[in-house]
Amino acid sequence: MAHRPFDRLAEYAFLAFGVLLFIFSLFVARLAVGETVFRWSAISLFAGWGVLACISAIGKRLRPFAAEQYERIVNALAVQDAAAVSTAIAGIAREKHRDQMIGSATLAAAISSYVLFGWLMGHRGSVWPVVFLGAALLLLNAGMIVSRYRWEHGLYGTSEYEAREIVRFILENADDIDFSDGLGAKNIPLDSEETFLSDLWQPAGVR
Amino acid sequence: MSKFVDTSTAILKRATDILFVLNPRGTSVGAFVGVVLDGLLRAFGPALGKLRDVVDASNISLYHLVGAGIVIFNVPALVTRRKLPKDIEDAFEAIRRSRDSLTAVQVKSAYLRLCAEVVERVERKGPSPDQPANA
Repeated sequence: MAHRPFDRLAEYAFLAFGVLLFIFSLFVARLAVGETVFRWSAISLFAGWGVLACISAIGKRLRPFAAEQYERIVNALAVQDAAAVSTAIAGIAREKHRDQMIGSATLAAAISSYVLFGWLMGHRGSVWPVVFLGAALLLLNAGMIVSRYRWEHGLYGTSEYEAREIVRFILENADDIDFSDGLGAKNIPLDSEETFLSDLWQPAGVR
Repeated sequence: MSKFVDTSTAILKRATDILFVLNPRGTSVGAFVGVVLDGLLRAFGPALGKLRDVVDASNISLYHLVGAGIVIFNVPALVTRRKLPKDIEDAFEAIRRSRDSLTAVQVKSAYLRLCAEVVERVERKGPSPDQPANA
């Protein structure tokens, strides 16, 4: 897998290209030259191209989210019953990935609609809605990249906020997902604090 | 893994979740519906001009419509959001209170083991009675 860093570099470069195109479209919008139709065509071309480049780059990063991904999560967790927890995390990842893709597509459609309505009706709209919606699109994808980083490096679930997300997912999907389905957990035992941690929860009535 | 990366990614993730009201799909669809409604209001502006005595559509901006769309599409998620069972809340409280006496790694392990405990409990309980056996 010696080429892997270059693959990543290429993906990040493509993503940066998309962001730059999008920013460039905003500069075009501010230019005081050219007819309104020309300006709106240029904005829609660059903004649409930039958004598509971003979605494509991010989608490529997110696509191979399968067995290899789960295995890394399981290995990174190093917790007994890691398979069950990683099944839950994989379920959350799938759900969030779906939400992110639908959200990105909808926001891109919102930007295109705004530009299209302005162009069809011949009015010069403000550039700020495009900035606002574009920023939302980028932030949505940035959030997903951060989430993915945390899943990959076994950081996910180690804060109260994320643990709550996992617990809520487990409780809501208890009837639909078999969390005991083996994913090849390593079952690495915890260190000497393991017993102490179990004691910690017992008064709280977890068992 | 540096503590800085862990903390900063956790904060970023939480910030983006909050920004999208924990419901990115609903929030995005709400924004899209707002943009489409704005376009329709502009397209049918002359016809709506006859109703100016009742509603002056020209005073409704894109931001109002996007805001309304986001709120409307998040209402179901806000209404159906459930609290966790009391014993699990107590477990979170126990970890929170003992944070000072635990190391960072112990706290992280505590949260993960709590998740594992919940899975174990759910599996002991089995599927709900109204769930078909072959589902």
